[in-house]
Amino acid sequence: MIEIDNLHVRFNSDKGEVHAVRGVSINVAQGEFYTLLGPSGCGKTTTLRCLAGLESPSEGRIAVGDTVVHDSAKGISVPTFKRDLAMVFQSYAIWPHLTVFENVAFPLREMKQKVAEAEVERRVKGALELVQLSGYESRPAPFLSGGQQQRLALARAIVREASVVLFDEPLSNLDAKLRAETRLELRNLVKRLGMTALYVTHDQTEALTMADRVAIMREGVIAQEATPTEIYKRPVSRFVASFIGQCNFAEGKITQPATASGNGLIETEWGNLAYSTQGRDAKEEVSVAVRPENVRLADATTPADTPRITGKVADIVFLGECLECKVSLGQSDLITRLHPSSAVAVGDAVDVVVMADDVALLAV
Amino acid sequence: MNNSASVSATDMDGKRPHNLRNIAAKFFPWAVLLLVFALVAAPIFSLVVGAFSQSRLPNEFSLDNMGLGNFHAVWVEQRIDLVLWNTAVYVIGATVFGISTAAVLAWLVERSDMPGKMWIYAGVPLGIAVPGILHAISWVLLLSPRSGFVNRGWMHMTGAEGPLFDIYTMTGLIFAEGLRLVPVAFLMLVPLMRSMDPSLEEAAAVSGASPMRTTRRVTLALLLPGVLAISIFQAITALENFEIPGILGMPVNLHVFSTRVFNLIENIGAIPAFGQANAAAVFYLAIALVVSFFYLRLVRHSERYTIITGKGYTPRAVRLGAWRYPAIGAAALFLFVSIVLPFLVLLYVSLVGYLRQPSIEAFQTFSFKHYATVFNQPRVGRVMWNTISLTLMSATTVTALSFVIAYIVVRTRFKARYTLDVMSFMPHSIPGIVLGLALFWLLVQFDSLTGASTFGSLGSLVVGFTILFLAYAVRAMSVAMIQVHPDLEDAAKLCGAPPWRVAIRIFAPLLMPTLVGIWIYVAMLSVRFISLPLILSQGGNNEVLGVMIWSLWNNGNINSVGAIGIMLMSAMFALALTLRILGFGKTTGGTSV
Ligand SMILES: Nc1ncnc2c1ncn2[C@@H]1O[C@H](COP(=O)(O)OP(=O)(O)OP(=O)(O)O)[C@@H](O)[C@H]1O
Ligand SMILES: [Mg+2]
Repeated sequence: MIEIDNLHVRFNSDKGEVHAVRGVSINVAQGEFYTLLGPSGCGKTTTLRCLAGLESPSEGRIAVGDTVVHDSAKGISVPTFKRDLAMVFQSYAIWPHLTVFENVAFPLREMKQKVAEAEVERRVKGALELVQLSGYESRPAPFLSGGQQQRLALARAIVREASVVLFDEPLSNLDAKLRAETRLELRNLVKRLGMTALYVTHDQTEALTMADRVAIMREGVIAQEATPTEIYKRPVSRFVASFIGQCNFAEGKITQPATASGNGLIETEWGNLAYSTQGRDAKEEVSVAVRPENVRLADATTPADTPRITGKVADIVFLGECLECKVSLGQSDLITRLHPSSAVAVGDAVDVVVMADDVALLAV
Repeated sequence: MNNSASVSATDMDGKRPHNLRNIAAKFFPWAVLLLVFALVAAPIFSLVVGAFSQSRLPNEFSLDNMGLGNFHAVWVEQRIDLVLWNTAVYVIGATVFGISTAAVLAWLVERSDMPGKMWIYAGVPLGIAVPGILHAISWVLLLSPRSGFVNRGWMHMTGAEGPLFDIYTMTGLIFAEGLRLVPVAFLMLVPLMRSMDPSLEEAAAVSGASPMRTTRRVTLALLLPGVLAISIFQAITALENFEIPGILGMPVNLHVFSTRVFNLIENIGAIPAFGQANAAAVFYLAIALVVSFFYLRLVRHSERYTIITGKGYTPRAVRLGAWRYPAIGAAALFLFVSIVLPFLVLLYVSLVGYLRQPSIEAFQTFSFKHYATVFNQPRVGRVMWNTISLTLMSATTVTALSFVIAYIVVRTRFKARYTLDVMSFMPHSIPGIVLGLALFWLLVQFDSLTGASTFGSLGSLVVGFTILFLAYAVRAMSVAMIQVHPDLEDAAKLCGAPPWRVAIRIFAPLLMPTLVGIWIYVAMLSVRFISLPLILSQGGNNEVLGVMIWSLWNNGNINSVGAIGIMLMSAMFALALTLRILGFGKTTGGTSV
């Protein structure tokens, strides 16, 4: 539904050229909820604005549905108002001189074929109902709370029934509780209406909970693109692993490659680790990443072939839903997350294990 | 932000690129830049070239007859150095007097518990409505040494030989011009005082500073840069003013730059010396440019965010105690002297049978016959019509052009947008008299080359006023546009609205108060400004009210001046009130006028 091909954007600013987007390619299927995640200034908004036609790319090709809306090589550029898109801005961009009703009715009034007044009323009412803003129709838009403005912006985006809707950090102005409530509501609404969504955020929880597919962006390029589970479990780089959640990293060397029939072994600064990812050769130098919650205390159920790592508990922090322990292994440390009921104390000698499936080999 | 996308328009299928539109959109900003450049550069160029011309009249201009003679003559024979000295005293005096008065008023209104603040707050800006020439005339009627009402009354009552106060002096000039600067200075100072964060003063108090020291070390120190910028701005206004020194100084040969330049070409009984006038004008312009340059340097960094950071706190009001009533008394006196008194004086003059000291007998001769006389002159109808057309055209042109310029500067990525910004500020430093003279040369040359008759046309005045008022309008417009978030327009585009619909439905309504405000303010300036029309007026085609008042006054037709003045002031008050109701002077205009 959305096809972005090798997108480049360069800005000419006072301090010289800024290469904000450096060859981004994205494919979003019909009805998919796609999230762009990345730290501040990595070019997410710029990419989104190119798609909307608010920014002109220096290079690349963009198609929405069957229409090529931009192609630098062929000199095609469809102006924003002719693109079949809706967008929710980070600032909401609610027009202060219009009422709630008129804000939502605006896209209908700007349609090519004139929409009858009764029809406008029906559709606006419907959209406002969907976002639970019924009864606010005649209110001047500035007299709404932050959450209400956010929902108004959403109503305006869906009333037009465009096939693609773009979100630029729409929840970042809300407080934590409201944000948590709105996340799923928003996803369900988009899914129910069958729209294709491209969602920009720098909040990892939003990305993991809402998206069908996540792309992690860094300095204008996409570092990894996968489903939320895949991205969490198999990050391809240190950057991706540490951007989403906490992670232990170590350098190591493969002593025994993994095969279809059995796990392999890696010698790391922590000690030996079993791993299951195939396709690496013996003697290869690798980086590994292990999530803290996957570092467990060894007990009776631990398989015998999984290497144990012995260390000393150096520090314990109580986080409520878990205990975060620092296990000192001589030169290096391992962070682990344990169930709060675990009977460990600072100074205890412990054996920890990591299951072969939980060891992620990094590409870089 | 969005321009680059909207201008590169191609059809939906991409097969028929709208090349023409593309090219037009690309070159439009350059065309605007060129236009602004031409508006500034062409007159200045002809002014400077004219300064080197040794021919006696502009239409005898020839490249063979050039030289530095004019500069020599101006410096040695005309003693321009004396004028320079006079100008400095006059500008500094008027600025200090005007700014101190405005600062006291603004402080009383914003930071004290003076009773009746609202009236002062609403009243002071109305002073904008009194044209400078009428101000000056009413001072002459009151304080001219022999026949001024006040001086006559004083001599009559005390039997004194000399007048109480002679307005035809440097002190008189400073007093009259200082008062005239107050309204705009007040409008600029009020937001400054309001934006003072009281916690800064409280922090000083908590650190153990006495109230006196807090005021000196914190309050004044924080206000100083802003007050300095406003002072320089007002100094430019005083430097460029012609009406006050023209009425109060010129008759007694007390010259400042603006009147000296005018005097060189309009001196009754002497041969006009155009080349010398140009040479003097070049000196004059250079000084104005230097002052403007300092102003620009001073505000370059602060201006952009002064407005946006305006937080909504109410600073603590200082208790005046026993001084509350003297304070409101003084403020009311200011309103009376600067607004009510000129009106009353002119009203009296317009109604009294013949000009005499106010008395019971004089009141008995009141009638509307001077108004009738004024209306019975066929010339008046034409002048009115000219004035109204000029006002409408100037205000509309300036508003439209400033909108386009501000849009390019604020909202597009046009390469030369900073150049355009600076260039549109340039005309701010061209005094009206200088521009009048420059356009005079340009139009005379143009007419003799092409056979057209631009000189003496109303259009020439529209061009002149557009140049003069553009800087102010662009500033006010940019500040307002910066406050409209670009997302508001982008959102409309995404809703399927083509650019012109976005302009009509989103941009225009949000900017409407600013557009109307600028329009009215420029309209008021066009009525008030007489220096430029004085030089460019030629025959009845482009005679306007200000010029007519000037010539009636010089011919001693004082009763008619009163009648016209009263009508003019009433119209101006109506405009000023509209401006206040729009809240314009309070926000946008206040910081950028
Ligand atoms: N108009 C512009 N001119 C020059 N540089 C720009 C412009 N707009 C963006 N940039 C630069 O491009 C880069 C990417 O900006 P972008 O707004 O896309 O970041 P982002 O990923 O959306 O960040 P955030 O999460 O903070 O919103 C930044 O380094 C930014 O400074
Ligand atoms: Mg962003």
